[in-house]
Amino acid sequence: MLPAPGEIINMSTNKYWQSFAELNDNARHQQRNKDEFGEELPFEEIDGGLLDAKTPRRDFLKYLGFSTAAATIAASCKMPVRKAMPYVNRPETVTPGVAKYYATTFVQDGEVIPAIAKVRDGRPIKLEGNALSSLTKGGTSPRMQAAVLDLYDTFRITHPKRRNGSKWEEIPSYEEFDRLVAQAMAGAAGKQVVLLTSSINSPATKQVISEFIGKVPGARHVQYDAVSYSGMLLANEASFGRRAIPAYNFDRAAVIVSLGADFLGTWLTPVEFARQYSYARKINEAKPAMSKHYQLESILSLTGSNADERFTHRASETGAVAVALLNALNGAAPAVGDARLKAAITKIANDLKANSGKALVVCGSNDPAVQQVVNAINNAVGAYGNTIDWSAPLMTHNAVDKDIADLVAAMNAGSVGTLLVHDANPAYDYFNAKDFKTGIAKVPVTVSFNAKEDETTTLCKFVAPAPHFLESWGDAESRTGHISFIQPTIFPLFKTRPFQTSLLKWSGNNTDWDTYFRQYWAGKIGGDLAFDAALQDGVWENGRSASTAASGAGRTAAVVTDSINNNGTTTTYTPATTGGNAGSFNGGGVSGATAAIGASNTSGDEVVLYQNVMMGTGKQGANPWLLELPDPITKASWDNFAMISLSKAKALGIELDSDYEYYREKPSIELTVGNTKVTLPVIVVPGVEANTIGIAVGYGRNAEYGKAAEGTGANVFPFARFNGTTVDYFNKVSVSAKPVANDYKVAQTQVHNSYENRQEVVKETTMAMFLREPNRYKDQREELTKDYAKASGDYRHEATLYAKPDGKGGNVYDHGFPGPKWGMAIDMNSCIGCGACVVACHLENNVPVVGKSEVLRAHEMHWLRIDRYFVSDARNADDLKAVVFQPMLCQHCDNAPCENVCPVAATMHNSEGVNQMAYNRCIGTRYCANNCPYKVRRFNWGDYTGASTHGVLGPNSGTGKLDPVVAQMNDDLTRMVLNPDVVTRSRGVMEKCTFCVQRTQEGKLKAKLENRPLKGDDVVSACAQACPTNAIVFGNANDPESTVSQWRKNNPQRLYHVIEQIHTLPNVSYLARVRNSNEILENEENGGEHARQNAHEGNEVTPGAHPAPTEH
Amino acid sequence: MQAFPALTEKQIDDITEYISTAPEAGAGKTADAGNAGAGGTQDSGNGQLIFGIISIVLAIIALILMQVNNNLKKLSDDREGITRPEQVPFWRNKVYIALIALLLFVIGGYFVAKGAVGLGRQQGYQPDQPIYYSHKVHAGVNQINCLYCHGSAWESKHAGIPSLNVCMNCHKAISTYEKGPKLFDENGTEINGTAEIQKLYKYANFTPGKPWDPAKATSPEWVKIHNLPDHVYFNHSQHVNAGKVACQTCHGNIQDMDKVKQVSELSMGWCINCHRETKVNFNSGADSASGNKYYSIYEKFHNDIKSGKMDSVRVQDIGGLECQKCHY
Repeated sequence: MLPAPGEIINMSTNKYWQSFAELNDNARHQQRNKDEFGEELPFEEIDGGLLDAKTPRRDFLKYLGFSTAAATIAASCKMPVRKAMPYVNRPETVTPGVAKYYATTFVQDGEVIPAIAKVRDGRPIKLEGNALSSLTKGGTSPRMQAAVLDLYDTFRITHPKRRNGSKWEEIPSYEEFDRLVAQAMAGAAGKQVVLLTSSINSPATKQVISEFIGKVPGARHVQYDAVSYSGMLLANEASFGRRAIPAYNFDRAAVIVSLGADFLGTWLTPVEFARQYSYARKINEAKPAMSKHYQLESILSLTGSNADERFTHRASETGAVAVALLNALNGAAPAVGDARLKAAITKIANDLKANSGKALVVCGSNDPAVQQVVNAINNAVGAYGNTIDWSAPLMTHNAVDKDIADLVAAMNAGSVGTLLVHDANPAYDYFNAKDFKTGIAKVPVTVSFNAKEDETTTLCKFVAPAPHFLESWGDAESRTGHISFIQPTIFPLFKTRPFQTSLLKWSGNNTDWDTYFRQYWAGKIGGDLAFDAALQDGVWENGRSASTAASGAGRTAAVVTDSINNNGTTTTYTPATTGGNAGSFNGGGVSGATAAIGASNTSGDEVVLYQNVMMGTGKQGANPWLLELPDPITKASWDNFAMISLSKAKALGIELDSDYEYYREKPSIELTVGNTKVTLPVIVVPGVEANTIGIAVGYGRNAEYGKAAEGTGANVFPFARFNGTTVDYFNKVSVSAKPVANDYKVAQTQVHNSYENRQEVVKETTMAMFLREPNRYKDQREELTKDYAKASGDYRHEATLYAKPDGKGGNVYDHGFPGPKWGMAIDMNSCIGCGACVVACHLENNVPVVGKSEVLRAHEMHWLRIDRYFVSDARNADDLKAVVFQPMLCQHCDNAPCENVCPVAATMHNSEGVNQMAYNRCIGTRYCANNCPYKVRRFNWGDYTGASTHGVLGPNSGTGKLDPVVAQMNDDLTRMVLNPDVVTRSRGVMEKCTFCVQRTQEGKLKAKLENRPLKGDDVVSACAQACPTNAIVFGNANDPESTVSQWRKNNPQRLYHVIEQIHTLPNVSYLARVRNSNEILENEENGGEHARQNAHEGNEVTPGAHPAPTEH
Repeated sequence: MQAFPALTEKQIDDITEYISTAPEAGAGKTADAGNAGAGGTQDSGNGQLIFGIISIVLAIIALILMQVNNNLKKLSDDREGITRPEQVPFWRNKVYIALIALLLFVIGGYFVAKGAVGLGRQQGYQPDQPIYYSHKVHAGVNQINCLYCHGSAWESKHAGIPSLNVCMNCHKAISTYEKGPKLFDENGTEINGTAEIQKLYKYANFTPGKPWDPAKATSPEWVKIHNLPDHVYFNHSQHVNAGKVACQTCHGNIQDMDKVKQVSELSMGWCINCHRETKVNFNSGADSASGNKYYSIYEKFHNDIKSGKMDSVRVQDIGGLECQKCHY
């Protein structure tokens, strides 16, 4: 039985672990981690003397001689003559070498992220969040960060073309294209003309479409979303009379209950929600309080892993859980079977009631009946008008599943004459893609406007590729009245044409889209000048430019204006002051909806389809940065897989000892749902409902979609099920999973680094513990001072090996940082693990993509990784209490262990507190990486960037074949994405985080040029800029006014450095994570290598000494 | 009347004396630097020559003495009746061979190392350009500010090569070269300035007297003279604008060059030396009015200057010798 809120749960014993090997078989795990390489090394056996060896001495000498001679010849060549061609007529606004920033917008699957594009010498090279947006406030997501690479995708369609038999035939001009399409459409006259798009949230495009429909006889518009929200749309239509989705105010909620909604990762507009959510979860140490987040779900989602308390149920049970919660609010006992779930629902209901008006319930189900029940719950807890706002609803999703179902039926019936497809790919992501494919074959005229040859475009007869959003004009309205503009940042690379221009042409309007768009908005905003001003800001909200609202801050420069002051709140983050419009709730349909919720399964397996943060629905399915970004939960890259529970693993006979993770080969299962069969590797995840098999969508693309996507996972959209009105993204009907013999290699990165059993890496506690012992972490730090700095009490200065005599008989301990000293602070309470920072680092610093085969060999190059720690009961891994995410990057230690061991002084400290790396000096001994306790150094095992000597060796030289994606990333077109201020590193060189030295240098130079002192927050590192939750801040720690200094000063109770006792004096500090739970922790057991509350004393805790695990 | 009451008559006389006799400030500096450089090289060249001659002379004397010694020993051996193994001629004498090999190795190694260090360096590089553009005529005779054409040196990492419209700003009106000094190439052949302007018109697709349409112009392919390796980050605005370094410091007396030549070595040692010596435009003490306010955050140095521990702050003190200031 769970206690009421406020009641204290019994002591429990938690363990922090990264892998099952560590949890179950730690001794062997540590032994194995002693080896640098997780694989057999190809050392030659030398038995019969050197001459008999494969490479005898004479061969060695021959190679030596040859290479010397070759180097001599190569070197004695003349210096190449370099030519320089200036502009003929330099545009006023372009200065070679100086970046310009343009506001634009990333739109995908309805999600709108206002962005600032950094354009260097005519090429967009980086996207940052637009801090002027009142919704996202400068937040970004991994997919938005990676979008700039799609611009330089070699697999984009370069010209209009048409099918000629089995081949594509280029159409020389768009005039010719228009003529051919008009001819074909005339041939199919009398039949329906259907424009199939994803949800359109662009006001100007909506007008173009309505013009088109008005002019073309028989035309209609069908919207279709790969992952639909029609359940919510229909439920709101029933409850509020509006087919719309209201806005949510997570920042105003004290209690958040999510029934399977991944609102931090993929649900509706996650970046906006993450910003709101993290605001309510920043802790003011003087008055600790934060929102309480319950998650009930069947798989372990990104949002679930951030929850304070988390409970699992079958996916088919979601409706029953919602009904039970509604009943519990009305005082009835919840009618669910599972005792733990029952207790949880009662507790949640009590908590919701206690926080009426400050509570919010969201649900990820696409069943209108379930959503209607959730609406009733929200009505009962007073969410409407407080945490849910009907005044400016979300405009992100408008597609209703029935429309596409009807369309597919009409196509198969032969009544559709013309099908125009824009930004939709039902042949891949529709649950019944088979019927869509047979249907499209029966449509005489099919035109695709998609930018790449996706599964649907391949089936079309005409293709007029649309430009990338960085090449085009556009707009997006994510909430009523919140407009965000898209403006081109580069001249179109290929012969593309916006689909709006096509529609305009075909409806007899000869204005092109660019002009039309400008006229449309100039008319709305009030003249060209006002429009230009709005365009410069990028956002135009509720009838005014953002800069007038935000006093011009961040107008051109991509600066995060959002920073955290001493009371733990964001300075410019203002939560919604009013809860907005409550709408008019009509509970009439709830009883009907309750009745309509089907019975849940009690036996058998269920398949749950989910989106992960990297792939989403797969619109960027071939983006190498996203494919290489490890999944936050499983840390697996390059593939999708079946996420299964521990008990399922047991049933399948998978032993969770060190072998399970040490070897890359994962057991596979063959999953049969109805007639569809898919074979996938399994990954065992704690905290997954016992009978649930979770699989990410967005993988398994066709070869034309991109080389990088080839062979990555399987498409599981066909597993979705139509329930008569909407598509359910789970399947409970005749699911069977059987193990198959062939193992499959999955590139999981979590076990690639080991802290060698050192402790105090992660500090996480519960709110109850934090209130009881607020100074626990502070005391631990003071303990260290007592031990190491008895004389002066100054741990930093006294406890160093490198004291310098001051010439007066004493010692100087100061390393001397006379000017700026760069520092970073990371609030683990805010980090949700999304990975936006990892991708941002990738493109800011030209970090190479290495491909799956290299990730499998632990050769991934990410300078910044997010470590994932499971927190579970010490003896029951499945009793998952929390997941902790820890961004880990070079700590820039002032006593850096790597610096002392470099034989060539290639890595050393500078006067700004940064641990520098001189690539050209590095000879690749890798001694530094061995000596780094944080394991953040990355070695270039291959020539991933083509930067090796003279460029003649090429990316595939030396270390065996690299994956084709490496060559793709080195294509001339793709290389345009490289940051010209950062070198690419060659083979055999160590690299690591530089604290974005190009940015710190630029920030200093800017201050010098403006003849002003450097301000503490002048420089923002790429990771800090990208963070949607403001978990990372960067700045000058020598400036007491900087946010970094303020965070450190105002959070003494949670401040710590990772493995501080080894006295590396890092310049990265962390704030411990606090989970809002009443659980009282005993010693975190010394099992995991990561966290133990009193590691300093080193007392071992024997398992027998623990009390029995708490019964929930 | 005296504007400097603190000075005595004698001091004023001394100052006047100094002013009348001292060399001109700017010219003196460069001339001095040039002289010092040239003199230094000459001195060291002379020294090497003398040491070389002395070494050779000593080596010859040593050789003669060894031969004499050998002969004397042979004579004495003959006299004493000691039979000696047959004399090995010196070209087969292992000692000589080893010595010569060692000598060749050292000399060869010296030149190889020197050559290797110089790889990629182009000091003295003076290529032909598509148009005989004389910096002397423009920057020297006509006193056009460097930044008029190379404006991005003020705000960007690149100094930039002026776009054609910058040339045409003046050359739409100036179509002949008449009044300036005669131009000669390195062979002494006279260059026809007007013909060179015609070359520009050809690139610009311009006919004097008619309006110019930049859309029809093409850009000349200038030969880039100053090349830094790709792994070096160099920012002109940092030096020219923030650091107030004169263009001539690195590019030599460009205003006297008809044909531009790379004067400096552009090696890392050359950069570092300048960073060691150059004083930062610090806003303290005497410079407080003119100094860059950025440096106000260097509290320690300001205190040290005040207390007299430090007399000036050099680039090296603010991290100018650190690897990652230029390599990242």
